[in-house]
Amino acid sequence: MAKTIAVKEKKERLYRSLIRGSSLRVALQLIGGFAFFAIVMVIDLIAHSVKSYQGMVLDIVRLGLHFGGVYLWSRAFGPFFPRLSELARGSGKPETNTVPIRSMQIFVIALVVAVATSLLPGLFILNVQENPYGPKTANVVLSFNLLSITWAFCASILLVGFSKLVYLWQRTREVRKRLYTWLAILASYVIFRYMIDEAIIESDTITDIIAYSLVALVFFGTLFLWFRIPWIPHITKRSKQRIIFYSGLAGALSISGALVFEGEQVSSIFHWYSPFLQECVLMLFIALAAYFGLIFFNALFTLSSTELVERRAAEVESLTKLTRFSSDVLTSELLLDIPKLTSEIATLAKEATKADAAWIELSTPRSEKDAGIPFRSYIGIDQPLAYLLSEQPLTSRDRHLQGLILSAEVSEKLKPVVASTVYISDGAVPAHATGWWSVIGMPLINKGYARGAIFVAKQHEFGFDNEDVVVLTAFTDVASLAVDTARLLSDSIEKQKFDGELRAARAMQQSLLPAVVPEIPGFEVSAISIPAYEVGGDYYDFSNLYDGAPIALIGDVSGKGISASIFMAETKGIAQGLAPLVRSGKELLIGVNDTLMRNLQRDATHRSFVTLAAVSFHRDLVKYTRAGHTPLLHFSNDGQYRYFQPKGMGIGFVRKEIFNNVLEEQEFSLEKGDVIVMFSDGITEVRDANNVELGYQRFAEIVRASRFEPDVQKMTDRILRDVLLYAGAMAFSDDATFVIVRRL
Amino acid sequence: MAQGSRFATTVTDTPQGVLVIALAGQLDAHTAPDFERLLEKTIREDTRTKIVLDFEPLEYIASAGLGVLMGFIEEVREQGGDIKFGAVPEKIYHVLDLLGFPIVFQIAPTVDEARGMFAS
Repeated sequence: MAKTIAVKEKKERLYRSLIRGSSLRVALQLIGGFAFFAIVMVIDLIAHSVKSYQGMVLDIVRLGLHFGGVYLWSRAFGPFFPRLSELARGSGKPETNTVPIRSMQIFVIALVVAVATSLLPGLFILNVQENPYGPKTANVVLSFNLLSITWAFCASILLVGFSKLVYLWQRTREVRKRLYTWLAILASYVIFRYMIDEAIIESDTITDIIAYSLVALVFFGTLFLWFRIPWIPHITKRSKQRIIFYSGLAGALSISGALVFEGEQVSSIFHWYSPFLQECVLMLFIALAAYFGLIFFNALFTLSSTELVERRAAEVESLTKLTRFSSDVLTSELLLDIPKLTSEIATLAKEATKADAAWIELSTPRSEKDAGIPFRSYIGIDQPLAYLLSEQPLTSRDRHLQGLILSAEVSEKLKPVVASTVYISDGAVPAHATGWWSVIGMPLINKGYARGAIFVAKQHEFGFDNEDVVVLTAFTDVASLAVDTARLLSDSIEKQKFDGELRAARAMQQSLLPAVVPEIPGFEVSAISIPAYEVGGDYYDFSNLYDGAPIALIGDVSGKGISASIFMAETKGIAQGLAPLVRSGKELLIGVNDTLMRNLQRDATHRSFVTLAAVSFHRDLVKYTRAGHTPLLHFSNDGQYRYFQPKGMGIGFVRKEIFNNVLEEQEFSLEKGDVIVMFSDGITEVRDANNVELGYQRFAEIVRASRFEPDVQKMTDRILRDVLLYAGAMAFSDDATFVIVRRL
Repeated sequence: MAQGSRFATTVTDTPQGVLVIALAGQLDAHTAPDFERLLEKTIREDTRTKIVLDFEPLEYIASAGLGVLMGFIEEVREQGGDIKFGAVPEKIYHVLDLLGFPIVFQIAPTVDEARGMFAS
């Protein structure tokens, strides 16, 4: 068992080494082929010397050796022909066109050589008829041998090429069967002719008829067996023209070859040398003439339909591409790259319709976040020209399109619009672009709305037909889906980023608020800040002034998200740092403004500001100062309320000269049971179902209603509840903050 | 109403080189960048510095919108121009007043009066 495996392995290794060293194999086969012909030559020379040159046995031996040589050579030439069987079965691929053409060129060269050498004996006038026993000199024998080597060489090439061409596109058993049938016909012809020539069969009328029938059989058999040439429909018009040229040439050469061999002089010479060889070569020429003729006429007659076939092939190709595109696109990173996606779509639309140009325009972006992304792609056309064709009133011979704007028409009708005659005369485009155009506009539809359009254009009238519209419609469906998926994806990624930022901002903002509300002797304090979904910039804080007086701060930073939080942190830092150094809320706000103004970005683009209010507690007195912030609500213990709104500008607006001048501080005494409420505009700007703002008055009423709660914490809860009840919602759209202080 | 059309501006050229920009809709964090671009173009590219803002059709102004107004006033004044407000609705005036805008900006009851302030 082990032994057989070892042998197998050894064989396999040998085989592999042979395959690998294919140049060595080719060389060996070539040399082997020559060896066969050398043997023939030696035999011929011996026969010549013993004066028994002719004879059936000698002829058969000679022919057998010739076949051996041809066989080895054809094996050797195989690799030089293009690997036809490995061709991918995709029409429109360059190999589909180049392989037959390359083969034809090789045929023509081989035939030229074969026919030219066939003429040589006639030119040198090797007159052998005078000598019935064979050639006079050994030189003549050598000449014949050299000639037959040349033919055999050419014949090998022709045979290999022929079999490769036959197998092109269809390497099936059926083809092999046909090939064998064909060879059998050829062989029967050769054998029959040989038997007549050598007078094995009496030549009479019947044998003549049979002989000519066999010629006809070779010819028509060739036509019949190889009538359908499967690769011809798949080549392009240009390639077909070249095939017609080469096959015509090869056919003519084959015919002239056959005529030369049938000619008196050459035929008699060869008949004398080897009747078998003569018949074989003759038969080969006839068969090849038939085959090339077949290719010639096949290509010629299908030339006119080529364009249609090419079109179909291109359509199939583009639909295949489309399918691949749609499956690729819905999973790939193209979806993350909308500009690349649109340019890909435009390119494919252009290819699918064989248009000169294609462009895609996506309509109004879904959200402002998309605004930075270019939602247009132009392939094979400049934007100004595309603009003239799709966004400007048309100049057209189609009366129903005259003066219409194509893109508007497409998005309104939600159907493809074909403009077969569009005139471009504008001087704004280069001269070569002016003239008649045809344009198709296809809407990209999603959920019943046009989300954009694909346009394809050709620079001549009536450039598109119904097929184009059909193909483009199928294409647009997929493209719409891709675009929409891409948009959804980009939105959700944006949202994710945004949500991430929100979480960070919220965490930061929460960390900036005091963890506990400090105890202020003689006062009861409660504070709450509820961030909205898109975190705003509300802020409250407590500290002590230089003399130890407690101070409560409330603020609202402009802007939202993480930048607002950073600005808030800055403000908090400055306020906390300054408070122990100053004697009043007014001084504190002046200091904060001064510091921030020196550090703020000066350009309008990043202009931020903060409103801030401070209440400081000095025994019975309360001092209130306000830098642009909402007023302070004061509730007396008798239920009267008032809003304090001293003058003061927002922080970060103006130079300190103005700011300091304007800022006022108000002071008032706080009686037992009196309440003050500091709040942000997120509270008073809450809207009810009818879009009516809560406003100061209603807010004061809500606070009034909560006045008799036992402690400020409960007051806070109740105020919050009532505000939300007013809004009829469970969340605030802006940060809502308030600080309540009650004198005990 | 579609998102994109919540805020709109109408620019009108009037005699004496005063440009009237009417603000309509809601000037908030989302629409402020549009307004900013408009002012930037008007002031920096077209070098128009005598501007009256017509607040009458404006429904709402948020802090981001106010920031934009503040951002350009110094630049405009350095070039000898001004931004004046006309026909400010009461609610918006309240917001402006809280922030101290009346101290920085001249505010007139009507657009014509605001324009007239350039003459005097």
